[in-house]
Amino acid sequence: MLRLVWKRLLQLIPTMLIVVSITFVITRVIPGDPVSVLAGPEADPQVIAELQASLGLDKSIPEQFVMYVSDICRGDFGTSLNYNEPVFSLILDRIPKTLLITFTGLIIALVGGIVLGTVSALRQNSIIDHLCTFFALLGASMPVFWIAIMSIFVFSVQLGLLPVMGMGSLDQGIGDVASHMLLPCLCLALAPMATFTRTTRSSMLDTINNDYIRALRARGVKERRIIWKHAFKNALPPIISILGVQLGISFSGAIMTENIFSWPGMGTLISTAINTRDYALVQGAILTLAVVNVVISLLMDILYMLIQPKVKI
Amino acid sequence: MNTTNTAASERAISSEALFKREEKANSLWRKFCRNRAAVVGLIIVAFMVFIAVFSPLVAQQSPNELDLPNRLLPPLSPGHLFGTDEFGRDLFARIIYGSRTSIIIAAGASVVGCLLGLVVGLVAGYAGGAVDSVLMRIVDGMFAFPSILLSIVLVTVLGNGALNVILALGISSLPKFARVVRGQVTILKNEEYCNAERVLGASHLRLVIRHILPNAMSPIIVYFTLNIASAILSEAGLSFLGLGIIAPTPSWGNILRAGNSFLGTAPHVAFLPGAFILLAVLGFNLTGDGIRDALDPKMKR
Repeated sequence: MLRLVWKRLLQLIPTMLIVVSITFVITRVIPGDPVSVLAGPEADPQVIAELQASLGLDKSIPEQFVMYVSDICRGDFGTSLNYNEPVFSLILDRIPKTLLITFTGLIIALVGGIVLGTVSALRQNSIIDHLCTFFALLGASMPVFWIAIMSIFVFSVQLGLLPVMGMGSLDQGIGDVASHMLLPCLCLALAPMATFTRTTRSSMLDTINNDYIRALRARGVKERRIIWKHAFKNALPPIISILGVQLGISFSGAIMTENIFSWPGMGTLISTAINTRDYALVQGAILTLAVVNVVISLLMDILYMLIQPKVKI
Repeated sequence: MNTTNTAASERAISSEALFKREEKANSLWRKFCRNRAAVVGLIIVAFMVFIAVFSPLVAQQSPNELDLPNRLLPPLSPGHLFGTDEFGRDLFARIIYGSRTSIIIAAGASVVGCLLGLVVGLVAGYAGGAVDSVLMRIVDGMFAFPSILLSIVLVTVLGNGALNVILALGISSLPKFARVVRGQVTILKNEEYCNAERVLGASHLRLVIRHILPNAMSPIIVYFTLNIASAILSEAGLSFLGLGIIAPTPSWGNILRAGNSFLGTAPHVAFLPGAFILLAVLGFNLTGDGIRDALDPKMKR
């Protein structure tokens, strides 16, 4: 068991190296070089040379790469041109806010999907089942930014029930933040919830047709107990196995949703950075998101191994 | 077929082979047709492709003709079925021409992603060993980036415009295709018929192209169809953020972007393009699922 975890952890090293190389390549090929941005269009050649030296751009590409990696390891992501602050501290400020809505959305999706999927499997071919299947199909095809805009239109513009912009402030109580979170999290939850519903339904259907379930029924065990204690436990692995993929989808969704609700997380940070050509920030932000994604997927893989010891990843 | 059965033996064999092939095609097609959701999906896809190909016939007005006095007209206004946008342009025409942008980009991106994924997956799966490890670690690395993030970054690097968006979305779907293809190839290359072919002295290229690839096709076709759906979503997302297709070229995403600013006064400008995105994505998803179920019922999830 422990050896499998170790093996999985070792695999992380090449992946991380590739991730860092990709962000390194991206920053070298991104249009607009940092020196001309810093120095302005009519800079003295000597000033340009000094700037290049200070940024290490006069060195060879392999040397630059080594510098880049060692900077990252020390938590030095450079300075944001726009905010005039270290990129690292900007990201540290933003990433918890993105994780907050991503995870809340994912939990809503998981719980909602499991409930809908189970209900739907237990009443196969009923109206409820058809409705759930229809929801699962629609939810997976829904553009998250569209449903976000439409929910703003309905709940904020028409009904005036919920705030639209930003994340509120903790000073005004937790309710303020919660009401700001509600719409983004629900929109974010929709697509993964559809997938979880679908997976739960088919996994539950596979499980409840087994003989041991029939045996439990014959012994007069209560239906509720059969479903949640016995069937659910055996239906769980396929659901957990798609958590990692859904996490990636949720991060993508969060980037879009944040922009619509002006949620001050990584998504808004990245799009502002791109629009203001703040490339140090772009680079740091995408690197951080990728690393966070990899690490959490790894944790989910390990979780999956724990509940399903047969599986070798 | 009765007449061919009585013909010369050689012709009979070839026509029998033909008959068998036809039967197989028929049964696949019939399996697909028995799936009601899949048929609905295919009809939606056909509809979307139709309005994309025949945009000028479907929409009588120009998508770019300005008419400032008649801006933000509601749907069902005389002469404007879907109303007008913030510059008085006919929204119906913009959405119809927008389908062209969306479908071409999504299909193009899937072709690019599929071809790149095929090359990487075939090489990694067939070569195995160190080549496989290196290529798949690179693919893992690309997978680490949430897909929309990878597309955003690539479009920033390449610049906007249809061709660059196709490239960006194609490259970001590479890892998905590469993994599927590699998975297939690693199984297929050890099949008995591949060993037989190897013993007979077939070259690597011949083995891969003639024997492995055709047998790996089914899941690739399924992923290709499903990838068109996700590419439509990604393109719309990029254009919505102002990074993909830039106005005045109509795209569902950038119409939606414009509509977002007029939500209070003219919600239809945001609602309608989104409804078309939803419909198109649903169509391709249903079709893809249908093909998967028809090809291999065991793959059904």
